[in-house]
Amino acid sequence: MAALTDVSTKMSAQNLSVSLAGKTVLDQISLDIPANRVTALIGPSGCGKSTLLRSFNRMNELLDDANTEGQVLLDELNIYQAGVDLAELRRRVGIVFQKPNPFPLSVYENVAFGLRLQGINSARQLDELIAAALQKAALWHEVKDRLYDNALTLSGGQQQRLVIARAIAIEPEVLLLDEPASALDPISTLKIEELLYELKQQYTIVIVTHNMQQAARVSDFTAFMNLGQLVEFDATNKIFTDPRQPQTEDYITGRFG
Amino acid sequence: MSANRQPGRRLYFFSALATALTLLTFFLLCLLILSRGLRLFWPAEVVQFQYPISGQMQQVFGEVVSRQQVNAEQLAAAGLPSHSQAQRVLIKQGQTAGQTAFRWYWQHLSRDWQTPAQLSLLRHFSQGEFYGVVMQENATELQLRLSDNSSRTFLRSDIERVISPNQLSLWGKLQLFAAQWWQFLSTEPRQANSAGGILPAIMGTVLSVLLMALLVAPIGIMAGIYLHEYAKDGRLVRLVRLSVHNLAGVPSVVFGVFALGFFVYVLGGSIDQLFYAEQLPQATFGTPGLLWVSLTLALLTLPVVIVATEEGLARIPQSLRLGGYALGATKAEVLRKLILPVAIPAMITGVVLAMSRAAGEVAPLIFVGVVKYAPVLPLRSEWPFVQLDQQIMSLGLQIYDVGLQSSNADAAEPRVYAIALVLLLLIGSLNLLAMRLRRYYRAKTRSQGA
Repeated sequence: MAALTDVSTKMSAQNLSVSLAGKTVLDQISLDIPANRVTALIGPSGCGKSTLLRSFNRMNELLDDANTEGQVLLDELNIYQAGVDLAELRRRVGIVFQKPNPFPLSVYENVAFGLRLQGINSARQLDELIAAALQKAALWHEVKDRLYDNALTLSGGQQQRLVIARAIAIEPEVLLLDEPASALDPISTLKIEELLYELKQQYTIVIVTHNMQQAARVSDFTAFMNLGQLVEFDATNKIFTDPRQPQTEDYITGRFG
Repeated sequence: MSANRQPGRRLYFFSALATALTLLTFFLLCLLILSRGLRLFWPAEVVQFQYPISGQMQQVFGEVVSRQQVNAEQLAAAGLPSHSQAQRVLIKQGQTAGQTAFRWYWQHLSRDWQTPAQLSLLRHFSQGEFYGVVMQENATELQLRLSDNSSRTFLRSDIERVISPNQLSLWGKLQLFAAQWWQFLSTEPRQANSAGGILPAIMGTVLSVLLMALLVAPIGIMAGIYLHEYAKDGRLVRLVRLSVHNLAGVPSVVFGVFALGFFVYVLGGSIDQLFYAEQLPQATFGTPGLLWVSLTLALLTLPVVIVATEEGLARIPQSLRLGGYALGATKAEVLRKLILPVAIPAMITGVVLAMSRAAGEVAPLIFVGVVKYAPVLPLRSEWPFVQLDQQIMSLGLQIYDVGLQSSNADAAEPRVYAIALVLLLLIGSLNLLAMRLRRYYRAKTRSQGA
């Protein structure tokens, strides 16, 4: 496992505070997300890990009365400064939610949606890119004969992989995953985890998870959060074997949380 | 446990009872209107009998409309010798010398009931119906012997139809029934709406409602989209929304008064001054007409469309929007490509519901262009194909007019039910269309999940 010092930083939260509807959810978070690695965010419910994830592509402001202070850098660019193109930011930083949310369109059109927004309209180019995305998401073999079926007819695990395919089709630089496997059965979960292993060669991945084993299995780095604060951030095997903070150890061993 | 379940059971029972009552009322309504409305065109048996009129036995021709039991007290009150009970019969006897078209006869005084095969019903274009026996007929004329044995000659060209129901087989009656229905639906009214067809009323209702849909759909849907998607939830928006909901509760006749004052006089008057000045003081649009009817209906049904649109949009899960934003779509792109395709069935439903509400509206339209009698259809052969400034007839007003303004209530009653049946079928088919469209769009987008 890599140590924190010998990887480059893709995204970086600096003194980031977020309040939703007047309630402080994140309090002065500073965190560097290493490039081409999987970073897991763990912590008890309500600790703010999903909010932190969403602040990486400014999804929070769609939800509630959100107020953000501090900054988040993406390759040295502060994404919260005025004049940032939100559509462009979200193209570079994709997100997948806990519950699969395929569009009520065909499998093909689901993946084509983001590509068409990019102005890619030629049928041949779309066919190629969609096949590639579905292959990368390990879904191609299961759906290649039902590309024009409605996506809602797929199983939950297939739907979630379709949503991931949809997100990676537009080739984001960072992929944010908000408990992507929590609504799935163990086999689907396994497939998603294998997928993450493949994807991290190309993308920087941040994953929120409630599942300690999952965090230990898939991530290179782990951040433990509690009550809106970052408690500890280190290489995953360090966190899971020799955490510095007693609070982290309590959580990981199940004594609290 | 059982004590706990008792109130729940009672609630369950009352809910079931209420549902059953609703269904029962609905079926009774349908049954009544169907049976009464269809009877107008069913060739009933023609009877003849003898009846003492001022001491003399006279012949009566006609159809039995209804029978009634009268008890002794009522008989005494009517100044008649009191039997223990008597039956009276309402006979439709058509035009006769010196008698009304509908008359009650005492069953026990009548003699010699017969249903002769040659007894016929003659329907005259301008003078009404006659019962009698056809004596002579040739290419131009027809001679009929009436009940008082006098004979009368009619020109063929004045006769709508001669029917001999007693000779008809069931199949013949069915054919006649269908032919008369078709005539009812496809011709113009005669004799102050008491005879003939209702084509202008059907066309007037259909045209005004279609035009209303064209007006209300874009305005209502866009207003709904704005209120739900774009407007910030402030005091002003809440006020607007409250007003829209209140608009739905305003009595429709108030809309009529408003439309007369604003649309007809102000708007129509201005249009006349600007575009039709050479024809003044003859008003073109500054007078009630089809355009104002449709505009009034559009105003009246606007809340239905706005509310349906808003509710359709509110039902769309947030995750769908987030999924769109997550791929870098702008608000307009999410709305156009993801939300609208899913919400369109709700909007269409709103528009069709608005149409079916508008089709039955009467009160406000009397002010703005619906009249009792306007046989010329508001259609033209060249663009824009409709005569927007023309006054129209409507089914709703026909029901009022035939039912309340007719000099002969017994003759008007089945006609009222027949028109009501047509109106109900029109509205019913609109609702059916709405369901079809909704199912079609739902199948296309399968928005409700697998």
